Amino acid sequence: MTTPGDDPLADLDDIALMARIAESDEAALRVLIDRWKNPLINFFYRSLHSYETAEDLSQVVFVRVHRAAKKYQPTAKFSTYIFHIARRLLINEYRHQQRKPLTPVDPEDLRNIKGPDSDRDVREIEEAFEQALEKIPENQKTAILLLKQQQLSYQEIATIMDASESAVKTWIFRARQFLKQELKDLV
Amino acid sequence: MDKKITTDDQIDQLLSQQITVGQNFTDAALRRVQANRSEDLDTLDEYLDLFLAKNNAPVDPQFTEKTIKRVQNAHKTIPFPWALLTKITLATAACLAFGLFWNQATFPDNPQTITTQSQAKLENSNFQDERLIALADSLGSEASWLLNEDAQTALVIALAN
Repeated sequence: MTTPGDDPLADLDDIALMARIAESDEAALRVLIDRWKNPLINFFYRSLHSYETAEDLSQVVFVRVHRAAKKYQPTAKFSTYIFHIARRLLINEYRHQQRKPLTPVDPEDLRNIKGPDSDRDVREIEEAFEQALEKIPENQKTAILLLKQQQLSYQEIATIMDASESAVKTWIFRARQFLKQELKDLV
Repeated sequence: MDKKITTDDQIDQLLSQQITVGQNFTDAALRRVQANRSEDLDTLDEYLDLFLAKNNAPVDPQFTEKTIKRVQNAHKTIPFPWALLTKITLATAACLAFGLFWNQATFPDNPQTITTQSQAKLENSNFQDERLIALADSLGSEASWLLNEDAQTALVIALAN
């Protein structure tokens, strides 16, 4: 793994990396993947609850970013651009999952993301949280994850989701209320 | 209840007691619920923030390498538009099916019907036009399949004559 000191490319911002990727610079693509793999995998994982799917979709995001590099215009922040792609893939995945029977979540997969110091109560609450999160409509879930997990602004989320800021705020409020309602007996 | 309630005053008193007890209970319960709820909600907010912000899904150390390979493969292979091809095939099949249905409905298989319909049309129309008969003559029987059944009948009549 590269650090800013090791690789001059690591000091470049995402837009400069995209310009290099457009010129078929594989090293720049590598830096971009290293930079964004964690946020993307976590975003997909929280949304879909499957590590394999999260990894697969994250790879597809990078394939699309690479394919579109030559046409890329930095009109918005790169995070907005990359999560816009991610969200479209997520919606496609939801549609795909609606057409096929649901696969149960592997308990091993759930355990994998728990830290070794997690106590039983927190684990229990977190499992309930995961289940509650699954019940939330896609737009509410994506909005609250982009806000809390990815630390994006309301404006960015609105751009990613092709919606108004007030709609985003409403979705986040509803998601939060629903999660509170679902977890109120556990805390 | 061994003691009989006989007067309106007694009933009122009992009702008023019940109301007082009920009201006290409700107020107390409400205060307790509100107190507990506000505490719970604060804790819940903290938990929600913690869980939502959690960014620790395991990332495969080989993820970057795998992704680079996938990007390179995707670059090599231009995706074939299977979806579009499927739609075109389905649309063509639907058109053919409709065409067959329409043909079957309009021109039934029964030769007797064809002959009768065609004869009737010939008698009432200008199918015996000399130009058509001349055309049929010039085409000959080998080319008769090119014509519709009215024209075929005209051709047969023309050839017979």
